[in-house]
Amino acid sequence: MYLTTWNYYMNPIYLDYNATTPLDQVVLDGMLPFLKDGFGNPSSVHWAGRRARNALLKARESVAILFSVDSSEILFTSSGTESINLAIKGSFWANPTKRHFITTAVEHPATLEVHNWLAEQGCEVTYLSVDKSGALDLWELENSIRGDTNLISIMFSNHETGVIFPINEVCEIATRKGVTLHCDATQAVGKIGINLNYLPVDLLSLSAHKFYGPKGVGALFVRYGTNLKPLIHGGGQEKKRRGGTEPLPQIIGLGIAADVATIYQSENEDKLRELQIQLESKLEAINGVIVIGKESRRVPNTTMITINDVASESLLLNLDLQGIAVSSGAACSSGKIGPSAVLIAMGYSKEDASHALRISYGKFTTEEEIDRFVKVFCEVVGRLKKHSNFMEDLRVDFKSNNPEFIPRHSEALSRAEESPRDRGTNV
Amino acid sequence: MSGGVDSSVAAYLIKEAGYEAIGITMQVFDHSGDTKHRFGSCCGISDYDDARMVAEKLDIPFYLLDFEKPFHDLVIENFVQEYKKGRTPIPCVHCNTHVKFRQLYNKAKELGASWVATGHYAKLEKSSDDRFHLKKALDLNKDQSYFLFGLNQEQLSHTLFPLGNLTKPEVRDIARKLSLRTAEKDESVGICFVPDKDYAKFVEKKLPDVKNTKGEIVTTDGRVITQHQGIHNFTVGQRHGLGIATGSPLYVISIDPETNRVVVGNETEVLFTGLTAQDLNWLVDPSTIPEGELSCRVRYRAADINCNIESMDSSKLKITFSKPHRAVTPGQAVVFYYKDECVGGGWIESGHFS
Repeated sequence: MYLTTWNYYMNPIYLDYNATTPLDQVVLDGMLPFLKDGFGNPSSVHWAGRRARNALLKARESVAILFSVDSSEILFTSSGTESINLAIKGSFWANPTKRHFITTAVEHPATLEVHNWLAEQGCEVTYLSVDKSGALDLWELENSIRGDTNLISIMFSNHETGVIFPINEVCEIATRKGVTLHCDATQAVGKIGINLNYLPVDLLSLSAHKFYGPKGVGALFVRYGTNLKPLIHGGGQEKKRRGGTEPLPQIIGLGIAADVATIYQSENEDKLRELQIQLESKLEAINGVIVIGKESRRVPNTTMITINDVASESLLLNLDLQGIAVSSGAACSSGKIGPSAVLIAMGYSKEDASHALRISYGKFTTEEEIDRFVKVFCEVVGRLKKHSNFMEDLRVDFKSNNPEFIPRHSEALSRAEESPRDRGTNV
Repeated sequence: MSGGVDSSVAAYLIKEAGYEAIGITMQVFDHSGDTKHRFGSCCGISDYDDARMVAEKLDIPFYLLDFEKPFHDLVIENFVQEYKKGRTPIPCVHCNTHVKFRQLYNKAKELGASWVATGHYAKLEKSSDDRFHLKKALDLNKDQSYFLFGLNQEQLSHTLFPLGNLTKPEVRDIARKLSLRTAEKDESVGICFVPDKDYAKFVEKKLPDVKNTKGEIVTTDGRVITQHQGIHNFTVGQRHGLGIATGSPLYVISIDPETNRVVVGNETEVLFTGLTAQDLNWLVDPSTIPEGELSCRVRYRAADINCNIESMDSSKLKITFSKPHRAVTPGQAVVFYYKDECVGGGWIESGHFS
């Protein structure tokens, strides 16, 4: 009743895995029982609750194993956004006298908006700049740290360009200076291996629906000993750090997605790398196309390009009409397509940022789909480029647009007797 | 697709006729400042959702596209400037001429489309000499040809008006049969970007220097009656809101932006015998229209009256009415008809009395 089926798309292709991913079959299968018989509340003492509680334990362990950490360090939330909010606001409330925060200019809107909120609370925020290749200036980071720095929040990999930040080095600096470090790993989990046993990150946020799990659930890794105040108070769940009855079906989904990632991650990574190479070599052969961040270390599933003379909006709509789903990098819930905020923060012009396309693939993407995407992309670009050469001048002339109908007064009088022309058929 | 019943049914008819339809809603105004939910104002956030859902029902692709900048530059700018000059604008004409049937058409071409179809009540016919003729809709009460006089042949050649031969009740009926959520939706009234109809306040917000530009309200023989707070608060023919209590009713006869004066008079003084118009657009050569059969309309809701062309050159047109007409307002459009065909129109410079 709620899901539409369209008849106008023959063979739709989905290439927007960074926006969200479809569920893995095993994830769906594992979630269903908890939507039916496994409905118990994990906090209840009786048989229904016990069953639920044990499943919750197993899911928590699965996520912990993915990062090589302890179960007690994994906290479940409703989303990556909530995890980010909890990490940053929780650190702020735990240490209210430390009012300086450091983050980057290319973070996900969730991170950026929370920092805007911090500024409203009277905090000072330093936004580290990122260059055109996506690289972070580690000197800038080191020099920004002050005595009252509460938290450094740097993403693992960028949601638009796929560029991976040098988290090893960032950890080294944060540890040396004694500042808490939060990493938004939402776009990295499931794409590259993250071992928190070796990486001394204090807080890590992730979201299930970016790696074949369901929407509505995320997690926050909180290293033992890290001070954090809760965002959502309630019934004491998650060791009093996040109230609310645990949404078991979603959490189980996250757990299974984590299991799958643990087992298949490197195999997937290899396959995706090949697709990335195949796609990018074809795209770079097109005149005017540049792959952003090519020279940096990137996740294997993301390709961000800019293209001369063709606007993102036109590309997106035309590709959609051919059944191909991609993104321009900037997603806004009102549906407006604007220039890529990340590219602008990286120093690209507004024009370049409005000519960007993000193609992100996943484990269900085939070589044929990549080939078809490139074919349709070329057709669309060819048509749009030709069209733009004939675009009307957008400056408006308010005067009459057909002066041939303004005869001189005397002519008008002499032609007054002429009969009207034949009114023809309907259009 | 504005989210109203007319554009919803138009979309359905286009699809039924066998065209490959793509639904577009133009976002022309930034609603992020709205805290109240607006109904019947056209193009508010919930209207976009209505359009979206109708597109889903009709099984056609749907896009909400940003036209804020062109709309601001081509429609809203003109609107406030006209009020500043003491004129009463009709932004809907500029929206049609420059945004809907030009900017939107360019977008449509980018998407591979060949026509733009709207829910306007108007008829389009093609004659044997390949010329397009804009005619009044079947439903004369709803006829919107008045707002379309600014389109040229090229624009008309890629426009479709599916509702031209239907009455409003018939359109609602079709919507009901399709169970479209917009079937019982109220008509949107007034100008879409000023939902509370407080045009003076809108102009003041956009042009703050216009606020409290005091001036005089005078009679036709120059006698000063009282002060006013700005000429943008008035329109020719207006009776209320003059802030004057006199024996007989007084009407605005003219507005002079140079002296910042509003001239008022009694009922007989607000009758005009003709007008001067400029920036004309002719869809049909006016010299081919038989003497005495040209009629004109000086307001959307005014009746057609016969008129004669006194003089015409490349920029201005002077006409006289067959009988005096009330309230000819500078800034409004004068649209000409020959029988049921809209032959062209222009912008009223000033009304004449003789």
